[in-house]
Amino acid sequence: MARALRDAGMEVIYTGVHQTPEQVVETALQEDADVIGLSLLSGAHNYLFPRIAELMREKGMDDVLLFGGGIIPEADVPGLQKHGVGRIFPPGASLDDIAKYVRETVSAKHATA
Amino acid sequence: MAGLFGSKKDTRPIDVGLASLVGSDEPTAVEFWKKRLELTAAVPSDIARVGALTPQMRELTRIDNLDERKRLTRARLIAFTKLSPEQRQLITAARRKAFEVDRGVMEADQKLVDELLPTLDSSVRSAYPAS
Repeated sequence: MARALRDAGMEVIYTGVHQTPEQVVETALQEDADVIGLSLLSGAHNYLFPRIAELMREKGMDDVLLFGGGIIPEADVPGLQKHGVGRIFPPGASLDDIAKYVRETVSAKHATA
Repeated sequence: MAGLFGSKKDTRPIDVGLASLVGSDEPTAVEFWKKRLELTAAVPSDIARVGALTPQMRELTRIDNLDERKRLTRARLIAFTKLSPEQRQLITAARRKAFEVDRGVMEADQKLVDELLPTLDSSVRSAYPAS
């Protein structure tokens, strides 16, 4: 995923696996990231996404897009989006679609800033 | 969450979906596992698929009530047989590799599978791969 987004011309900072929400948000803050993308295969998305969204709000990261994908049933997506999470992509989603979504969403955010 | 006596405390985030299955009826549990296994089978990379399956097996070991753990494992076995042949193949391969990732968890799970399979309908038993 990281490689695909780099190939699409984005600067990607891959933090590795088993990062805590605090570590993820701190890295994004330090790197002045436009986007936090999470690939969650553990089934813990209903905790991790809201927790990261909460930390982002605390840090005033309102202009940063939070999105992701993984083992996340469609039924859980509306609940995540209520916490401010963007699109959730299922396993096997087109890498081009994901890159396009990130590019367009970030551009729109910058346009309204 | 407490682990087995003497083992390291498990501080990983809880899989809320799996935790919410405790006390559910069998059709609900089977449907849950079917969706989970379908998503896992759809992961495009073999390594990532193992990475998706292993935490779910670990998560079952967090359920202290053995009867409940057996009930949910039974539902998983039934759900597996509802997958397409290709999905079953992918999950089976991921399961075999998961033994290299977390042998303790997988051996404990296999023990439950071996205990439960003979109690299931012959259509489920015949669709489940030999260990």
